[in-house]
Amino acid sequence: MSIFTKAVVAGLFLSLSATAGGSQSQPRSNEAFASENAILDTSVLFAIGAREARQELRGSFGWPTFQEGLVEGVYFRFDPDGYARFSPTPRLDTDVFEVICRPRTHSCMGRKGNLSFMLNSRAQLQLKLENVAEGDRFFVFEGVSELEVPARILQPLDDRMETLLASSEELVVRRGPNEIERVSLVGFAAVSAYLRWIGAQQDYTVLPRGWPVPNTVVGNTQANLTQVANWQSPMPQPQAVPQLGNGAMVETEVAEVRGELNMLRDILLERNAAEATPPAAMPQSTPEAALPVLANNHDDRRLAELERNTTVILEELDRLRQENAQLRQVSAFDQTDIVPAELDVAPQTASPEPVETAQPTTKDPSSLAERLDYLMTEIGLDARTAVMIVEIGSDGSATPSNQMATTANVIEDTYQDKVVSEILAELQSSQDAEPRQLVEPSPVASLAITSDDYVLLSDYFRSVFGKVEIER
Amino acid sequence: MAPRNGNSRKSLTFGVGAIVVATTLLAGGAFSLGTSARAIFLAQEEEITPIIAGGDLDNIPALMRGNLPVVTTSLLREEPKRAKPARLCEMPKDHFEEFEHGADVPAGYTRRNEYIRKFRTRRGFLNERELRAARTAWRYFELFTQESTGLANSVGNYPSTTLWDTASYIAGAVAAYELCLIEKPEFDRRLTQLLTTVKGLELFRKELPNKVYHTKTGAKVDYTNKPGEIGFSALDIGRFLIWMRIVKNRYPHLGNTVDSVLLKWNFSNVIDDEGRLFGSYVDKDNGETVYAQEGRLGYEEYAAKGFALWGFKPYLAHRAEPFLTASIYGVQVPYDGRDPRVFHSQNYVVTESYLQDGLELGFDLPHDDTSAEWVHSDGWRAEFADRVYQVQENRWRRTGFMTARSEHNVKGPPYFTYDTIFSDGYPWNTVTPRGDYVPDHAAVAAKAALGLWALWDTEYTDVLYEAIIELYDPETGMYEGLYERGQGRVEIFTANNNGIILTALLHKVQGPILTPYTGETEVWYTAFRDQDIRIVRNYPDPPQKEDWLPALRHSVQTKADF
Repeated sequence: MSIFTKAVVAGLFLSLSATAGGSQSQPRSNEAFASENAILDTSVLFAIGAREARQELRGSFGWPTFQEGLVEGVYFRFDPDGYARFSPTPRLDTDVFEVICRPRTHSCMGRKGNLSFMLNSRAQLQLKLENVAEGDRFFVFEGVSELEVPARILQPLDDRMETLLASSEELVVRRGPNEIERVSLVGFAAVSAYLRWIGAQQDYTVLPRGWPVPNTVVGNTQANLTQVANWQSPMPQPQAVPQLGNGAMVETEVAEVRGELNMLRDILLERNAAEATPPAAMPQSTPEAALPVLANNHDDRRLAELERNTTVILEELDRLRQENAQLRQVSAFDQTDIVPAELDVAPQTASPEPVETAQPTTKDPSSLAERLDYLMTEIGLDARTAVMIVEIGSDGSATPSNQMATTANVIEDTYQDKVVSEILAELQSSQDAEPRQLVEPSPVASLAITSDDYVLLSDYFRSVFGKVEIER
Repeated sequence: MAPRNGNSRKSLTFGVGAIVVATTLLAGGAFSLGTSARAIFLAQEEEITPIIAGGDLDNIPALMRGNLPVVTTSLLREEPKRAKPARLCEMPKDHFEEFEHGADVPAGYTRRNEYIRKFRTRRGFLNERELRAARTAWRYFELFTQESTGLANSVGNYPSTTLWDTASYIAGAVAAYELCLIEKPEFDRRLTQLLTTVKGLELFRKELPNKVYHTKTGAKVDYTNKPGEIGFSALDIGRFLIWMRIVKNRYPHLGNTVDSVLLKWNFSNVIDDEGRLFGSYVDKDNGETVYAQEGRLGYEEYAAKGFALWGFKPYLAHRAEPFLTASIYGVQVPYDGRDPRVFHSQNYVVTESYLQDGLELGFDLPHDDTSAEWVHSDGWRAEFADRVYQVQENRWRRTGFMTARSEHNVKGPPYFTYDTIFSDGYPWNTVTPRGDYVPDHAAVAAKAALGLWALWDTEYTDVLYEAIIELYDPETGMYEGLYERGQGRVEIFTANNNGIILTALLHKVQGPILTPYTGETEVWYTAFRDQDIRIVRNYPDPPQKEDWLPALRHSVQTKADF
C-alpha cells in the first residue's frame, strides 16, 4: 500500500473517532443541514404511494423537503440526510424504528429500543442487541407461538434468517427462565430494505421481491435513455448486491473516505486554530516516542479506538483493492475474447509487480502535483507537510526508519503535525509487513476472515476464479 | 230672438276672428312651451355640481391620490388619537397610580363588534427581576448582531436570519430603547445600519426579500446558509411590515429610511385582488417561481394586519373562515379548517401569533388609532386569544402541566418544533416541521409564558412568570424554555424568543407597541406618482374608510363544553 494511501487511511481513523460520538441523539451544529450532508434525493420515491413534501420551516435552517409514505404496513418519513422513522401509526409515535446515518456517508443504522442493526460490507444485516450475554436464548414470536432461533442471529444474517425475522412480530431474549428483552420487529422488513436502498444510492434493484417499486424511475429523461447504465431494470431483484466486490462498491467506499476526509480537514483546521498548542507540548522525537506521549494525553480511550479502527479499515481497504485488482484482471481477460490483438498485452500488465503498477510513478511531475494538491485540498495539510509526505513517498532509497528520523526533525509543534506523526508511525509498521505480502501473495489470508465470518458461495467462486487468472 | 230655421250662415268677420284667436292661442302655447322648456333645461344646467379637482366627485388623478390623508378612526370620528407613551426612565413616578384599566366595563362584543375581554393586561413599572430579564434578553442582540451588516443571528452564533427574526431584533431594539437599556445614539445607529442593509439586500427574483440571508455578508442563502435562493414568505414579510410601521410611527426621524426600504419591493404577487397572501418557492424541477397561499388561522391574520398597516387590502387573509373548533378541556379552540391532506399545510394552533397581535397591535384593527386599551376593535381576534389562553390554564388546572405553547427551537435534532395546543387532529401535539410526533420536546416556551403574563393578569400567569423570569444565562440571553417532561432548560438562544420577551416587558410599561402615525402624508404613498412603478409594484393608495378591514364577530362560547 502506498504511503499516500496510508496517509489517507490514517486520516480516516481520526475522522471516525471524531464522528463516533456524534450520534443523532447528541447535539449537532446547524451545519448538519449543509447540502453536502444530503445523501438522498427525496424526490426518488421509496415505494408506490410515497410522496415528497416540503418541510414547514419557520426558521432559517433545516431540510427543505422530506419523503413520506406507507409500505409493508408501516408509515415512514425520511430526510435528505437519511434520517428516517418507521412506525405502524401515521403519527410515527409508537413502536418506532429509527434510522440514523453517519454524516455524509451511506452508512446507516436502524434501531428500536435495545435492538440495532446495520449492513456490513457484504450487504448482510448485522444485528446488535444490548444486554445480551453468552448463553442467552433467542425466540421469535409471530403472534401465536414462539420459535427458538440460534444465537447466530447476532452474526451476519443469511436470507432465511432475515426472512424469518422480517415475518415475525417480536424478538424475545431469555436468560434461563427469565425474559430479559422483548423487541418489536414491526417494520423490520421495511427498514432493512431502506438500509439497502440507501447503501445502493436509491437503486431499486436491491429491494426485495414483491416490493412496490414505483412505476418509473424519477429523474430519467429521454436524453439519457441511450446510456447503458439506465437500461437497468427497475424491477426488483431478489436480494441483489450490485455493489459487492465490484468497482462501484470501491467507489462508494472511496466516496465515504472522501467524505470522512473532508470532515477530518474541518476538524483539523478548527483545532489548529482553536487549540494553538504551545511548542513545548509537542514531542520532538521519533513517532515511536510520540505514541506514549499521545497516550498520556487526555484521550487514551479515543486512541485505543483509533488503533482498532486502523486495523479494521486497513484490512478492509486491502481486501477491496485486491478484489478490485482481480476484477480488472477478469475484465482484461474478457476483453481478450473481443479483441484478440490484445492477448499479448493483458498478461504483461497483469503479471509483473502488480502493487507497483497500481501506484502512480512518483517521479512523474504531474503525479507529484496531483498528490500535493490532494494532500492540501482534500486532507487539509499545510504545504510544508504535504511536500514532506510526497518527498518521503518519492524517495525510494530511504528506509522507513530514516524517513521517520527525517520527519521528526521537520515536524512542528502543532496538532496537525501530531496527526502526521501518528500517520507515519502507522505507515512504518505497515510497510514492514508489506514485503511479506509480496513474497507470498495470499488473498484469503489478507481478507482476515475469522471463523465468525461467512463467505457467500458466489464470492468464493469469484475469488477462486480471480486467483486462477492471476496464476495464468 | 227667434231661431232661424234651415242653414245658418256665419259672417266673414266671425271667421276672421276665429282664425286670429286660434293663431293667437297656438302662438301663445308654443311660446309658453318653449319658455318653460328653456327654463327647465337651463335650470338643470345650473344644478350640476361642479367637479373640483381632488374633490369628492373627482375621479382622482393618480398624481394626487398620495396626498390624501389615511383615514383612521381619529380622522373619521374626530376622536383624539392615542398618545405615544414616555420611555420608562422618563415616566413620572405616579404614572400608574390613576391608570385606567376599564375594570368596570363588562366583557363582550360592542355594537361596533369591538370586544372587551374579561381579562386585563398587566401594567406597571418593571421590578428588578423584570429589568434584569430585559437586560439579559437584550444581551442576546448585543452578542449576536453582526458588525458588518447590522443583522442579528436568528439562533445563537449561526450567521443566518429571516425577516421574521429581523423583526424580532427590531422589537428588541425598540424595547431596549424604550426601557432605557440603550440611548438614542445607539438606537439610531443600530436601526439605521440595519435598515440600510435591508434596503440593499438582493431580493428574491427582484420581488421581495428571500426567506433567509447570511447575517455576515447579507447574501441571500438557502436553508443550508449557502448562496442561493428559496423564495419569500408572506408571513415573515407581514411581521416585518408591522415593525416597520411601529418604527415609523414612533420615530418619525426614521420614517424616510423605512419608506425607502419598502419602496424597493415589488408586492404584485404577494397579495391578490381578493386579499389572500401568497408566499413563493422555487420549483425543484424547472426552477420557476411557484406562488402558494401562505398562512393559517392565527399567523395569517397577524400578517394580514401588517399588510393592511401599509394600505394593502388583505380582506380574505384577515378572515377567520374557514375555521373549525376542537373542544379541549371545555374550551372550543379554533383551528384552521383547511384540510392538511388537501392543502399540504398543517394547521398549528400556538400562542405566538395571538400574543404578537395583542402585544404589538392591541388586538386592534389597523385603522383604529383611538380606542381604549381594553377595547379591541379586531374583536374576534381578542376573543379567540382568550380561548387560547383559557385552554392552557385549564390544562394546568386539570393536569398540573404548566402550559405556554409555541413554536420553538430545540438544541439538537429536530432543531425546531411546533409545540401546539392543537394540530393534525390532536390536542397538545408536538411535531417537527415534517410532522413527526415528538412529545419529549414539549416545553413551556419562555416567550409564550411571558407574553401570556403580560396580556393576562391572572394567578396562572403568575406561576408562569415564576418559572421563566430567571430562566437566563446572564452572558447570553434568555433560554428558549423549560421542558415539560423534566429535561431541564431548552438550552438555546434565539432572536425571536428574546425579542418577544422584550416586547412583553415593554408592553407592561407602555401597553400596545403600535402608536398612531402623527404626520400628514407619507413618502410611501407619494413616491413614484409620476411613473408607472406604483402600478407595476402594486403599491397601494392611502386607505379610505371603504378600504378598512371589516370588524367582525363570531359566536362566543358562554359555557364550558365537554
